[in-house]
Amino acid sequence: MAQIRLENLTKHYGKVKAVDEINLEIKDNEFVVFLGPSGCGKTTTLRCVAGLEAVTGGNIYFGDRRVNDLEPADRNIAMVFQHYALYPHLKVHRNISFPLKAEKMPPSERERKVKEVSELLGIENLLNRRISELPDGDKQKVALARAIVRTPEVLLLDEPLSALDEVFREQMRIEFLKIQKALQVTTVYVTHDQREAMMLADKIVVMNDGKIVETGNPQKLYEMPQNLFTGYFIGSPGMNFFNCRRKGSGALALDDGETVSFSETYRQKALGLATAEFVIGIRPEYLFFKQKIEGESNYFKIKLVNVERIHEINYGNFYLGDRLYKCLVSGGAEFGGREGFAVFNDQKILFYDLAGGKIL
Amino acid sequence: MSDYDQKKYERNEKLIKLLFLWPSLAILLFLIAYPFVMLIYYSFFNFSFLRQANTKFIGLTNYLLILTDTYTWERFIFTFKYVGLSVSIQFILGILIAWLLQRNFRGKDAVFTVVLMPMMFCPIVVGLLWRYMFNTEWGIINYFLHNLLGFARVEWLGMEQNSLWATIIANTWMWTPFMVLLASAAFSSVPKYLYEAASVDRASGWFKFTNITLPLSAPILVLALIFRLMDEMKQFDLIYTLTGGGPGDATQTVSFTLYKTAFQYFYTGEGSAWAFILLIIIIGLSSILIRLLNYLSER
Amino acid sequence: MTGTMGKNATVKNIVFTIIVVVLLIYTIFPLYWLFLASLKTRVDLFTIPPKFSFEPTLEHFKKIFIYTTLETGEQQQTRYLFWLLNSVLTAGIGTLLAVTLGTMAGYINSRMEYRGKKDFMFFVLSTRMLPPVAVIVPLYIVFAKLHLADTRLGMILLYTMIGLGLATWIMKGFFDNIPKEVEEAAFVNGYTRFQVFIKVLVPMVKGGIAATAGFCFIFAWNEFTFASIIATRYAMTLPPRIVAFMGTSGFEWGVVAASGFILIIPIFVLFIFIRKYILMGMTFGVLGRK
Repeated sequence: MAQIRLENLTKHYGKVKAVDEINLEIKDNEFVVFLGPSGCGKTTTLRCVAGLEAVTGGNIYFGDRRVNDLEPADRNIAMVFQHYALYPHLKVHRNISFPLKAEKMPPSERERKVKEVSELLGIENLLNRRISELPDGDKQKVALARAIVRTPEVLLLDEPLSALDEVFREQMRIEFLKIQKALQVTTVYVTHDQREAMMLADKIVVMNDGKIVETGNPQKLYEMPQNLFTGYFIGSPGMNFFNCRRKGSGALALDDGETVSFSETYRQKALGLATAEFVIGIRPEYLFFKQKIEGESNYFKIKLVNVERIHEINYGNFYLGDRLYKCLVSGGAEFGGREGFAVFNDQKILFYDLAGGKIL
Repeated sequence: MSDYDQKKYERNEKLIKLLFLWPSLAILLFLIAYPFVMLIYYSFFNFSFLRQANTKFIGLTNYLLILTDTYTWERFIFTFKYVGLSVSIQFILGILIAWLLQRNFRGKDAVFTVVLMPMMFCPIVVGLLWRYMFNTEWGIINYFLHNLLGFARVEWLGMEQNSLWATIIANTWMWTPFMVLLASAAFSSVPKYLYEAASVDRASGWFKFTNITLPLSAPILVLALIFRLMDEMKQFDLIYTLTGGGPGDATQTVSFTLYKTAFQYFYTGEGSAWAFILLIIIIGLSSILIRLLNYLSER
Repeated sequence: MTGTMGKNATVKNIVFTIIVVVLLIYTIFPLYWLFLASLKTRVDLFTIPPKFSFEPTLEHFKKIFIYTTLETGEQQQTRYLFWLLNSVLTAGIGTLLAVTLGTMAGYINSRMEYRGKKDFMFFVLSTRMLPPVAVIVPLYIVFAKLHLADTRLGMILLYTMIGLGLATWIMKGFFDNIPKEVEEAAFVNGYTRFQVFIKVLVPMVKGGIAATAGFCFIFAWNEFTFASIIATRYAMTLPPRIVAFMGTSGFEWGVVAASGFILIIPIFVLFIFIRKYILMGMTFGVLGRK
């Protein structure tokens, strides 16, 4: 129901540039996730969109309307906060129906909407309880119900799951998706958890240091990040990045001098690069450990330190130079200490320049 | 821990408890509990501090004398009127000022310091100061009212009705800062995001105040109320210098009557009975309010 | 911040400023008036209309320190400095003791259980419910018997007693706010409870101690009722002296104003220093109590 446009949006706190000239367009009904580490400016940006912070520079548009000077109450938005922000002494029912009262909706209408929304979220049997009696997960559901009961133009969520434990987080992520599809409302969601972003977003906006690093759909950001930061931040575990140097002899050496062998196409590409030093990126899932080379053309020698289990998958840790990297292993702890080769597929490697941008 | 260590640990604990608690307990027992018991004892005698020779046991006579005298009830009614009005005004004013001073503005610290000052001063001085200001002929307050605003001169301390209000005004000036202090502390402990959520929901300022600020501040506000009530019932210094109980006995609170009985007429025994009655009332009121406080803290 | 962006923001700001200014005037004016009164001549004090500009005089301040006998016109120093010393000693040491004992008692009540704990805490609180005028007579008798009447030691004990209740409750609140793990970590490292108290906990509640000390001192410094009856000569403090100028033949307003003003100054200075801690003191004493 709305398109959001951020034009050179800037927010300063004294000398600190929390948000530095952000330009972004959010389409109607899109589920956009602002992703980044603490302090990157994602929450501040969200709060500017909400009207809870005054903008230092730039403009915010909802459709054709410039909303910089509008109070949150006048922007037709709804917001879900990290700590629920529910009215402590009101019952659940009253908490949800409150925004409707402000719109002077007749009581029968209100009843209907509250019922609709609480059924959608599965909390219709909690309507008469006090907020203080509810467990955290239910509190967040109530907060969400309150946010959507008004059918706002824009739905904003500020790290809504950070305060919940893992069990609830799983549940709630599914709820969010369900809700968003059902309501068709433009949604902006802030999180530092990249798995959440990967699961929920139509479009992810990766931020760091007040600036947008990269935007794109989850698939693209995962497979082909345009920036070192994105590659490192997204995916669990993050992408491996090896410094690579072209030796005079035409060979290519990684971090500590290990020669890497490339298949012919890529060899030519690597040799043809303008710079002699660059960075190679490859995801641990696409780097396989084999004890013997059997005809593969892309590989380099490694020695495994140990095996680590992340999200039900076994990864081997190894050192190149003094940095630790990960690769996929086909077994368990017995692989620790073994020597062998890291083998990879052509299509899965990416080249970056030293400044962090992608080049090939 | 070995048996030996366990015993040593327990002995150590006990020693610390004794060492840390007993000095305080001793002082309090000694300087309060003991005189208090003596107080009750005296109340059963026609004891007079000056004329100690004729002391006779008279049982509950003092109490009967006090409780059946209409004068007594007049004093009580006045005291409750005075305390009720004073504390209510301080309560409301204090909360309003604290609410007002919530937002961050330039010079907030300085303003706060100034606003909190009056309660730091000597009640004796404050009483005298307001007595000086309330004077009918040359007092500055009547100057503003009469010469600058055109109202008739008010006989603040000379007329019964007015003296009540003069006392309330002086008292309020002095003690509202206490309420402001506690209310501010309470208000600042309310998480900001609750207000933000309310803003997004288009809540009015009144709604925010009654549904977020007040419920979450209630325990501290009630505590402040308890403190103020206890202190007002006990108050003596301010009234002593401001009105001396006058005109006549128009502003004599129960506390002041006690003073007169014991130190002007030297009916020490009767004074003790007054003291005991007053104390029962204060303890009773406080207990009720403390129970309210506990109830609120649990919700 | 919400409320600062709409069209009405400027109007709201102006109204706000006006109210704050009114509040400041309401608070400061009486003090300003007191200050002026201390500098006005006997005549200027009572003019109609009251004077805002006048020739200041220091005669009232002088009278505080120098006493002129009526008959001979001789001048001798009053014992003002002596009374000042009494005030400082009794209020100061009384506060010191109250805070020390109160901190210790507060600690025990926060961390340990013992029979009659609830009663102890209630008893401590109830000491604040007693009107001074009520207990004065028996207290005086007790003091007289112990030869404590009109002694500095007696007044010190008295002020300690008065401050103890508040000190115990506030410090208990502060200790309640410190998680038990802090102590447990120290125990594991071999500290005795006493050492933990002195070396670990006390530094952590410095704020509470400052706040409590502030409150106790202010109260003791301004205390009148007990002082005027029990400390009549050798231990006399400043507040009763002010009342002494309320003679039977009319008040010495100028001197009253001057001595009242002097009395306020140390408190004002103290207040500026512990302002920060007072806010902490009141909130922790309550918020931490569950």
